[in-house]
Amino acid sequence: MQDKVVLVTGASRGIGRAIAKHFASRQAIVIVDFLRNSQLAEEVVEDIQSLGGQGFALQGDVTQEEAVRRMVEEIVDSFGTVDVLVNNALCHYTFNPKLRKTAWELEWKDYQTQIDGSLRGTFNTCKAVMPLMKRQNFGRVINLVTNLIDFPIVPYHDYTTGKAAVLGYSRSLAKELGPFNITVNCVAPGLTYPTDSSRDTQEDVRESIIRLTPLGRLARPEDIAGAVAFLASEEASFITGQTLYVDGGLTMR
Amino acid sequence: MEQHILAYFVPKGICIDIHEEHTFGEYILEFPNLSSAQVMELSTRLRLNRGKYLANLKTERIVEIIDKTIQLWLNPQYPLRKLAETLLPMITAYDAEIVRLELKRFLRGFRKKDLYRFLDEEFDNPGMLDNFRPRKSGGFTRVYGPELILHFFSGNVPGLPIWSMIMGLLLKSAGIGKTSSAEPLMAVLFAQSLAEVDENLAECLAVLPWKGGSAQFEDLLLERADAVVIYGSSQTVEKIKNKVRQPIPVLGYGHKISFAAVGQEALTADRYQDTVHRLANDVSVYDQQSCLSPQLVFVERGGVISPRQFAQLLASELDRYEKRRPRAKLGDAEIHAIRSLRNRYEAMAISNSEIDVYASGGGTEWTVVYHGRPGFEGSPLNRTIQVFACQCLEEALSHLRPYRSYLQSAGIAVAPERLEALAHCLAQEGVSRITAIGQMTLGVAGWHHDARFNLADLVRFVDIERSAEQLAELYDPDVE
Amino acid sequence: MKGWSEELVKEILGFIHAYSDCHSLEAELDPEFNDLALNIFKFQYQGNPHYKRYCQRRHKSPLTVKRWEDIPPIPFQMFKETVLACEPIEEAEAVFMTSGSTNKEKRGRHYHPTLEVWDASMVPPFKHYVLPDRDQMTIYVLSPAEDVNENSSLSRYLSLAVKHYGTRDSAFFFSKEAGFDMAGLVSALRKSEAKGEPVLLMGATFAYVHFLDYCRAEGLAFNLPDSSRIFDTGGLKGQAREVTMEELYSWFKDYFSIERELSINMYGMTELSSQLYDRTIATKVKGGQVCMEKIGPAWTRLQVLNPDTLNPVSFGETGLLAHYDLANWNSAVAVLTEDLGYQTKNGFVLLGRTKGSEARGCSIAIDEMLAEQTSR
Repeated sequence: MQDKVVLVTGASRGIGRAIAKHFASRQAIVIVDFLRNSQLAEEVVEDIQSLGGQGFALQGDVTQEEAVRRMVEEIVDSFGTVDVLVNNALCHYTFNPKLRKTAWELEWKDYQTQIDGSLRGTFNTCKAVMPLMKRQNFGRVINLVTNLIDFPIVPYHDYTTGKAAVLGYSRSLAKELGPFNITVNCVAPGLTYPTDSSRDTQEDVRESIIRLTPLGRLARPEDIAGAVAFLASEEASFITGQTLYVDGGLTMR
Repeated sequence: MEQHILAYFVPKGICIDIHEEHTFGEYILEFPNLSSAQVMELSTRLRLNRGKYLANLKTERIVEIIDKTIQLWLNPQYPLRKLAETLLPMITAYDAEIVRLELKRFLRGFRKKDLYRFLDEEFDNPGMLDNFRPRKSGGFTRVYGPELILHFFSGNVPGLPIWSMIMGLLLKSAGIGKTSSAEPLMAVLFAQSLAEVDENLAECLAVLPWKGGSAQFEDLLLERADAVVIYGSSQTVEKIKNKVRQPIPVLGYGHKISFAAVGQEALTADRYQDTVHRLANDVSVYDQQSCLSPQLVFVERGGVISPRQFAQLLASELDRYEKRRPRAKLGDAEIHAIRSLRNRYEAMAISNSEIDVYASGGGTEWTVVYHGRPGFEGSPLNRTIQVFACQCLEEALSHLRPYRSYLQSAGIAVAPERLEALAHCLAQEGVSRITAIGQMTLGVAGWHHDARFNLADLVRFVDIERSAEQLAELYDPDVE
Repeated sequence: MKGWSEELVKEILGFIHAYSDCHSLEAELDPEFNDLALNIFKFQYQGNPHYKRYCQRRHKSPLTVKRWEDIPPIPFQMFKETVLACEPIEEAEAVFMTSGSTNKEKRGRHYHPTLEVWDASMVPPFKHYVLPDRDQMTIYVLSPAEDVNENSSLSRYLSLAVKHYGTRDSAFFFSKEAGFDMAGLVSALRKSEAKGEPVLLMGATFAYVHFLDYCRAEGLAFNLPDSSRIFDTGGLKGQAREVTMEELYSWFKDYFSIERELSINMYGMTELSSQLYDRTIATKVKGGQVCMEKIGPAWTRLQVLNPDTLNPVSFGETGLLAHYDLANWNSAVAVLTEDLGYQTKNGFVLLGRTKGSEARGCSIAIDEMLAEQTSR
């Protein structure tokens, strides 16, 4: 990963933060994209620097095409390219089994919000980095989805639908970009703890998931980061269009 | 176990000393020490052997013998084929897989049906090679091949000398072939196979290595030959041509440039990957050392991928090809030429957005140079290709003119309604072969090599005119 | 960039003055060299978008480059294809251009906002390697000096050498109007012979070939006084006539009575701001073993790169030369040449320019083809 330029969206907290730090620890240059909380993003950068890595915070709303274009332009100006893109950003969602909306309560706008947050954000960033990756005959795109697509242990309809859209998008993208030596893969985490989004998932639900999980615990952000880093590594150069489930064996396919 | 392989072939009874040995793995190639006297004796013997045997063979029989020989080679277990597949990659540094595939493909082009195609292509009635045959305008014609052909083989494409050897045999000519140090083996092995099938026929052939221009006997041979066929650089061809004093046929196949042209019809969403794949194959086979290989490609705008994206895709495809079938290890000069080209264009690319360089990261394995407007520039070869964008392919034609005398093949990918018109334009600019991309490096039976005949240019046509025929009738003792 | 560049120039001049007598193999200067090289790299990266883009495409930036060896050497062709300068070019004190190409647009250009650094880099090594044993010498110059060609770095070099170290008898034998005044040089050499006062001949390598042809035709030879020496530069490649350096050095002995040990070849190029020298004279004067290798001043370094991969070769192997020159502060601190050479413990050996490839068969590189066409 030495000197590779890695853009991680939604990297100021949770899984994104762990991914950013992991790449930095492998001598990559990490761009920490954040939406609102610049203070958190700067903390990530400080963490990275204290590990001896190179990290830079950049504000950008991935759902806005123009904002993404500007962000990528800025990255190109400073670092020349983007080698690895990790689409981790999602629009705010609370994973609370008790307060979730049922199928009959949901409105189209709930779906729209999730599709915009997941698919549109991913679409925007992918489209913006494609010319760079084609130019250098190299690129790694890693999109974060969820194991709920296969195993909706709690039916978060809108969120899961948005992520499933990303999965479909990723596979088609893998097909078309493969000839350019760009790989596109997904990582599907199980419930990951602790993160801000999963804080509201009640203890008993967590326990029941743990009971069903062969490896007997919930995912940690670092687990996800490891899988993402693998897909970005030289070792994974012949893997594309795949989804790597990081949920301790809860889903098997 | 060491195995000694002769790097020459001579008729029985001619003794030759071994002078030099080159070791390739467990194989030792033995090179002869030739004296002028020996070579002169050899040429006399070949001519004699031909007169006794080959000159009297019917063409059909010759075709049969060659076909049988080729059939031997089309058997994967044939010992000489296995030997060639082992040794040629070591001698030439080409990837073993490429050698295996291309050799097989190449030899397949000399089966019975292909040989008849060669003959039919060049003679209205191939029977003329055996007898006087009636002409439509009256009288008779028979064709006489040279008694002795001197071949100068090149070493860029393994097996290529076989082409020339077979053409000679079809004309009932004895042959002396001078091999190139870059590939001295294949012609020898083929002669040995011929000997397996028909010893007497092989007695009319000799294959010898010597350093071109250095040996005294080269001039003597040129004096004794009835025809000369030369493959090599334009300088080589020119040099040898100048040495020929008598008025005999001299065919020279010198330097040529080939290129590809891709129309927007080949760059639709369903076709573009295949198009790129084909071209990458043409660029990679024998590392562009064949004169049939493209050195540049014109790419038309208007497809779903832009010419720039085409260049990028081609780069990726070449990278994959390299992983499957690596390019030959190069000598310093060849590496420097590629490095120098890259440096020049990388320097240009920095301030000129119409230029870009896509290149293998580690070494000089492959290089694609992109030009945003049409032009014409060749390549230092070895998987280095120039991509020129153009609005329409016809626009690119104007750039061919200065290279007219060097143009050879154009691999094209266009819609049917454009094919003929484009071919006509290309032909006017000097191109002599229009072929499909993906097939560029494979010459086919009966093609007009460098726009000429392969056989007809070497022979003498002898006519018995109608008057002689009629007059002869008068002297029929039984005439009424 | 003004403030920064003034600061940088001051630092570089400081380095040059402090180590003017040192050479590039003195390892104890490495840390200081490294710091300054990285500083210059940063300056060029930020001051020249073209330079920056070239570096970025190789994933090199001041963030990632920590050792001078990792600064990407810029192909010398870039001086021709683009503007390599951090300071505004219209304010440059001098622009040196490469020779050769007839098309003026296509000549390599090296802009020097100030000649202070160039001059400071030229003078002490010249003294050290050419005249280690003398304060002054009579210098006869065979090639155009500054008054003839103000855009030639060699011309400035020759003028500066005479200005600093030439006696009053020194003279220039190349003028705009008359070209190379060989007869004038002959009579000047005869005078030196008579006076018994040693001379230093300076000029482009090929100028000597012409002069020696002249001497041969006129039946002339000289017995130049002891301690006389010959300085040549540029080499013999790319000239119509085939002469080897060995032949030339033997002619120096035959026609001037000057031994190889008192002949010195300077390796310089328009794209650099410092020069590298044969160690012949410097080691001869010291007594002991005479070194034939070349070496540069303390503010230069050399890397030998594998032509295929551009990775450094192992010590002693042959490869392409990449020069690192701190005096190149405005253009590119590292320059990749097409010269081949190898390193020894005493310096490096220059093997000359790379040759293009020869076609193996009927396929041909177009350059060769055009050469064929024109040679007909």
